[in-house]
Amino acid sequence: MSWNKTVRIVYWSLATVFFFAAAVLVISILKPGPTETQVMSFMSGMMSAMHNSMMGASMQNEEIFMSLLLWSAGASILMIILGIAVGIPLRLWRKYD
Amino acid sequence: MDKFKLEFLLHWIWTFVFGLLMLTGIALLGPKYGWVLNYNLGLADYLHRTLAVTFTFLTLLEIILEIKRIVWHNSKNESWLVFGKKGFALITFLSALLFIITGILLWLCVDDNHTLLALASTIHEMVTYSMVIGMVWHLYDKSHVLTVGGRK
Repeated sequence: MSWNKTVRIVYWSLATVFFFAAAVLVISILKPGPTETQVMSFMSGMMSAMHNSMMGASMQNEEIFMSLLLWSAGASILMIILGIAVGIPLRLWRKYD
Repeated sequence: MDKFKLEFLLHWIWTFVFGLLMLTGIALLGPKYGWVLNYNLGLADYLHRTLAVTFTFLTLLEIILEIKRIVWHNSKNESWLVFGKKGFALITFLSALLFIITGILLWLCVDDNHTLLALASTIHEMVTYSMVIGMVWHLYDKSHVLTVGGRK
């Protein structure tokens, strides 16, 4: 498959994500409710998130909150360094091609 | 083709991160919205927080690229820069700053200042709605890239 077609598939996929998000918002705002089932599902989701997610852990324990921040920052910096490390050889390869 | 240019790559990484932030953020809005991720709020929260930090670093990178473009008067890769001084690029810049500032307040003020928390939450939500509309408009405006020829 040519590069052009691959890139256009990526464009279409990302465009779909945003149209999906817009549709979700419109549907959620315009539909009646929330029903009792939806409220209970949301509350139980929130309660389970309190016990086994970073949000809940950070509310109960300051150390986990700080370590989440540091981990996220570290992971982001690692991704950027990886991107630069891949990008520079690619750019040099294209320059001398 | 600009396929390996930094601005091009950053634009699409930005789009991917922003799309995920949008979906996870919508799931966290309330009972009427949680169905989008099947009420799995732990996952939504974890993804939203992790990607928010990545989003902050990407914003910083984009600001540096924009400053570099202004200082060196280099308009070669301007079409792929996420930020700019007019149009949708300016709206994206302002909304990114609003998201980051209100997001930091939401993250830090949970136990302390409830008034500030409510204000930050409202602004965060309103900017979300406007950016969803803005993104749909941006996709329509740039819809020529979705066609096979890719020309306007």
